[in-house]
Amino acid sequence: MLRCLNSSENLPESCSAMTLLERQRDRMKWQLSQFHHHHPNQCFFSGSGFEGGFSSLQVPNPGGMMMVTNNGGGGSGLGEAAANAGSVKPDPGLENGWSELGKVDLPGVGFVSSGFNASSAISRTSSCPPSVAAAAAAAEGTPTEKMRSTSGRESFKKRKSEKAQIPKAVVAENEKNKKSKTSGEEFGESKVTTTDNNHNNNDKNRETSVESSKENSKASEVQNQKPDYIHVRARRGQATDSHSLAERARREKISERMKYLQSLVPGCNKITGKAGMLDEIINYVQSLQQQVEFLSMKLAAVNPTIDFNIDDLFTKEVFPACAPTSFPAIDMTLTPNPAAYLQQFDPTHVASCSGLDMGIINPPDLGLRRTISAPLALPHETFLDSSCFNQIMPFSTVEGDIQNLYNVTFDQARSTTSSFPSQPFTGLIEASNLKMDM
Amino acid sequence: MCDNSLNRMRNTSSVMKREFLRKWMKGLGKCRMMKNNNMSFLERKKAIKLSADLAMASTRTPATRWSRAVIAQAASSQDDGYNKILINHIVGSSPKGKIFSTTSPSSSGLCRSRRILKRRHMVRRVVKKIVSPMVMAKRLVKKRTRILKSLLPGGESMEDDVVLIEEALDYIQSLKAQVEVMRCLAAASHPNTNSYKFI
Repeated sequence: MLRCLNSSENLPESCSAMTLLERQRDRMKWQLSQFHHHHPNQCFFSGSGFEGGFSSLQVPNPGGMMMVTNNGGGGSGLGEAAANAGSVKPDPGLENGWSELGKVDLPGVGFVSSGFNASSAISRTSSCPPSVAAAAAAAEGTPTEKMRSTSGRESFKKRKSEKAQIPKAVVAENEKNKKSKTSGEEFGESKVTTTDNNHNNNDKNRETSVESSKENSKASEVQNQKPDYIHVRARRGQATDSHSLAERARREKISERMKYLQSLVPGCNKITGKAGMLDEIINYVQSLQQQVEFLSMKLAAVNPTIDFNIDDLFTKEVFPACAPTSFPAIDMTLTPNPAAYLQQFDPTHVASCSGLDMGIINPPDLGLRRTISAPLALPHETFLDSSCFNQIMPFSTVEGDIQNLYNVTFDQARSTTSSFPSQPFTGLIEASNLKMDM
Repeated sequence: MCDNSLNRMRNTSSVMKREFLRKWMKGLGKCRMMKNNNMSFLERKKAIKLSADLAMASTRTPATRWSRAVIAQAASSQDDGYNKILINHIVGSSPKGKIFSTTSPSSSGLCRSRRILKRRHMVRRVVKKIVSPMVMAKRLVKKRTRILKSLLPGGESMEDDVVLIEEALDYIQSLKAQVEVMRCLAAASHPNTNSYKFI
């Protein structure tokens, strides 16, 4: 997306550089816009459309008839046009200009996908013949031609710089066109009122519309992805489909019960692992059952007749005695794991985000101040410090101090935040970056 | 649901004990009335245990599966008339159809668990493959779960692990209470006999 914006920002510059030929190009663009108004669904960036447009547009342009038909002929039409110009008009200055133009424009034709540039080049070449016809023998033609050639060179340089950017943008925009037909329709509608600036505006509009549509789609995706089990949180790397969520909830339930059982069964505190705990539980249940058996036998042996005539007495005397020792108060110390994890996780995360942002936005002075105060800061702000360090690197005088500071903070981070394992790793990465930069 | 049950389990231990003792005494009195005091040692032991189990189950009847299984087991044992009278006496106003419909195996848990343990050893000896520790741990857990199922009354019908562990929780707690009460009773009856002896 950034690249698209860059290209759209580069386009007005190239346009402003060619202010000499504005009128003619305006006319051409108006015709082009009419053409596009007739074919609104045609892809804007496919150079074939433009060339076809030119071939259809040549008829009302009597001055540059031959040239323009040559242009319409194909991708190599510009070179032929230059050759034709050279042959028809044997003016030396003009010849130079034309040859330069041909040289300049030929590589430009090479990439047909960058439709706007190709169109501008074509318009430039096609705009030549009227001027040549108006002042064929006059000497005024040469400066304009030179100007044109220089402008062409400049634009070619810019085109070279854009060369890498534009195909990607085109690819992205093709995808976008596939995605959203509405943006294409908007594009066609706004094409009716096209001038030079409107091209850029169109690009931006389209991009903004595509962005908004993308955002909308993202939002809808997020809304769709809202899970059924809200109380179950999927940590990093865990599956989020409903089955695994349910399974996870079940496992959590089981582990909860297991903890309670652990507190209930004596001698089960130090055992970790489900199998061992189950062993303990089984043993305990067996022992309890055997105890019941044994006690019943004992009672049967003690009392030859089953008359326990101590009902009332029992409830009054024995139970106060055995009640306090009977059951230890069982504390359910179940830690709400996900919440705790999040609480542990969030400050660092937020700090890292803010640190990154501030590292990008702040001028280096602020960064320096923060790095000086870094050792006193919280260990959670190590991200912030490291990002600032990355930014300050060009200052060579402070480098040693920064290195020391960074080491200090890094050690601090390592020593204090042992609970959060990913932090040292990022710190390491930052450190390696620092060394690479040095 | 789980929190409620856990809280209830935690809070009602002493209440449960008192209830259990009351019911047990009631059942023992019924036994004595029915058998007319001329019982052998084994009969007495059986009666005591049965009444204790039933009393324990009846204190937990509406809540848990194991108690229902205990009652159903007692109802489906050989000397029907006596047991059913005892059940009716102890459990009292319990929906009979619901309780008696739950059929459960009548064999005792201990024998079965030993048999499974033996079988496990045999399987281990025979299958000497190299298995990953994950699979091994899962297998161990499965075996132990099966044993625990066999130990719990009515555990055969518990398919879910969560239910099984909940039932085990409840059962352990009630067994604990039972053992406590019985121990208290034994300790209370012993000094009497001892004092009788000494005097």
